[in-house]
Amino acid sequence: MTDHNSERHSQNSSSGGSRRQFLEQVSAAGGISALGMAGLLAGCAGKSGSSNTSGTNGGPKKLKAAFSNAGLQSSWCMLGKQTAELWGELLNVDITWFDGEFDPEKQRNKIDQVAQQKFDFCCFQAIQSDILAPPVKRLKQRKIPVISIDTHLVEPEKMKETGVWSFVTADQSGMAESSVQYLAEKIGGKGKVIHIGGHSGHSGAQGRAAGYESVMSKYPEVETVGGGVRWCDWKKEKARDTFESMLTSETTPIAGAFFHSDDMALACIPAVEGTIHKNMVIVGVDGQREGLDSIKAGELDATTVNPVCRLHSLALLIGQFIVRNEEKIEDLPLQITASSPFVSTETPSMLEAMYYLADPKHCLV
Amino acid sequence: MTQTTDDKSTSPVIIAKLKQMKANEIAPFISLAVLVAFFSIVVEDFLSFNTVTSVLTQGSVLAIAAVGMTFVLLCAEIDLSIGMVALLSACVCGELYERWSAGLPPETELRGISLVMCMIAPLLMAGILGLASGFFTVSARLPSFIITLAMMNIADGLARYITESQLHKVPPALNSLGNDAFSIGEMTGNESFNDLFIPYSALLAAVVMIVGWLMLQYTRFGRYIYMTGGNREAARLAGIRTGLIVTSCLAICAFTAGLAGLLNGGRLNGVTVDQNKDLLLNAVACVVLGGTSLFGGEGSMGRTLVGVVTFTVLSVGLTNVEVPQMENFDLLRPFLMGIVLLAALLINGYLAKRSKTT
Repeated sequence: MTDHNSERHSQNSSSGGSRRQFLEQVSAAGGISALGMAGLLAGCAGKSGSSNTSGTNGGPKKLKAAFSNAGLQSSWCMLGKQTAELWGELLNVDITWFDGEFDPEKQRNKIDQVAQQKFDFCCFQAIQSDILAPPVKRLKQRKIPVISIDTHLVEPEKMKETGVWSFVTADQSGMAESSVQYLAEKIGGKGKVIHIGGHSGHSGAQGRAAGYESVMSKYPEVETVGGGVRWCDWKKEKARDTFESMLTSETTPIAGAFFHSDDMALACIPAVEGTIHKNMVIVGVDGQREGLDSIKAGELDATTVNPVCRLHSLALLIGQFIVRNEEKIEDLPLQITASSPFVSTETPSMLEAMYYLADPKHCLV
Repeated sequence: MTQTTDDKSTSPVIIAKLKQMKANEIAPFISLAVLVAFFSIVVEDFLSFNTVTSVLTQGSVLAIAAVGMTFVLLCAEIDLSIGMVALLSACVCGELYERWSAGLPPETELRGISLVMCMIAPLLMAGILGLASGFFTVSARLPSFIITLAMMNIADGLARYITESQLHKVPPALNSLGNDAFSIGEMTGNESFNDLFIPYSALLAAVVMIVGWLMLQYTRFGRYIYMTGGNREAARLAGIRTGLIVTSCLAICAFTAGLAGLLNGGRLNGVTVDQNKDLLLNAVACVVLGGTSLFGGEGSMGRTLVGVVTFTVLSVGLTNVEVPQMENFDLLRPFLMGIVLLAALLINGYLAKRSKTT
């Protein structure tokens, strides 16, 4: 189990300079180093003496950044916003937020407006690949750097020509692998397992499904109930209905269940009580406050943190470095992967650490 | 012996009743019977108490929302806000519960009048929103479609603002109402019923449906709803205050939506702002599947019950259908749901047309 306790460290896709390595370390260490980085920045600014780095009070010049993620009705996205605002204050960056409202058209309209306004850099989590490409091209013409968060704005090979400087993401497949590996080991590598998926068109959900398949392919005695993943579009009601129907259709105890999100898992846990499946091992992905609470209460067995704070703070840090150090698009790696800690009922110290790191007052994971 | 006599006397009555029923009244039952027969063939053990329990559990929230929607559709209006009113109601409940619980000593549960108020206040608020929708619909002489569209956004925005998009817990009583069930086997001591569980949520839905049915069938208010929906001008000339009827129906609809939202929050162990997104369309589909007209004046609570059961059987059945030979069959489920719904609605529509011409 100790393997799960250690965080999977990030791997960049291109060659790294010392600052790039430093950025990776920031993400891997839960962003704690970034606190010090705010101070470092000031020093850095002082040394360079560039117009972008000198504020009126001698500190770094105030920057203006536009942020948008999928939709603030999601607690994950809301925490991303809180992270950007908290770290923006520390780094002297004014954040203007454009809520995607989980609607590709609305997000596109808002980013079209962003493309007409004055910002130093932008960080976007596109609801759908390619929909933001035209305004991002306009931002490129206006020399405004764009950093993509969590989902690809455009295909990787088109990133630089479109104007996406770098892609900050978590390892979706790896997150699922951590949780599913734990599940497979806990059930002794055999038995029936329910696999409840997010949205079939979402790259994150596809990655998680691939992670599940990759682990379970090593356990031939594990049978996925219903023959494969059941896509529930991240909807708790749909997940609960599907899960309940599967529970009632099985006459022998189901060994475990893997959910693409803790939210869906938490909505389904009550359905297990009082049934022959009550001892099943339930694991999820996301590791936000509710999931941690559920692990602490012994309801959810394990989760892997989808590091929303790391993704948003890392995008912010990179954006302000680009502007303040006057970096070039070729200097940045195509992709930076943030690490995702694994938490289970058997890792109380990690659970305790996550409570601190995930606290909205700190926004560190 | 007595049983046989009863059977002999009741069978002709049932047959006579069936003969009296028009084709459009029988159509929803035919759709339901065809679905049950189909899933009995393609899904192993579909005809079981487990399936009944699943249908009861999954249909309860929908049934409560559909009751209110029936009132609104019967008077030829529509309420687009029910999903968001349900959400707001649950969010207010969660916010009140967490706020009032925060002031208590650790390990102490909220109880008494405060706990009751956590659940009553959101329902009252939902009712007031419905009254407001009705008032503006009638006074501005605008379609309820537009007014409730605005109300939908108002409720959505308020829900997001109140919860700050964070998960809120709801009172344990609601969790219990949404998740607990009693075993008929244990209650009757008959082991063959051990797999049959009646969820508390289904009991609540049944109570709401019975109250709705009594109101529609046995009260003056119910008759006025049919008259208002059938021909509003004639109803007005007959002395019925049609504006008041419309306002009342929208208030009832919002109230039941609020109740459905609370129950759903309890079932899902808390409330987040992504809940109840499908409630509106599913509730309308249930009511129309049951044979209630979208143009008012025609329908009943019994039909809505049949619609809810049909919709839920379809949902439960499709979830359990497995085609191992087809990779990615799961992605076809919404398509199949759409096809079956379309077929059922077309059959209902055809039979309704036929019964009117004969």
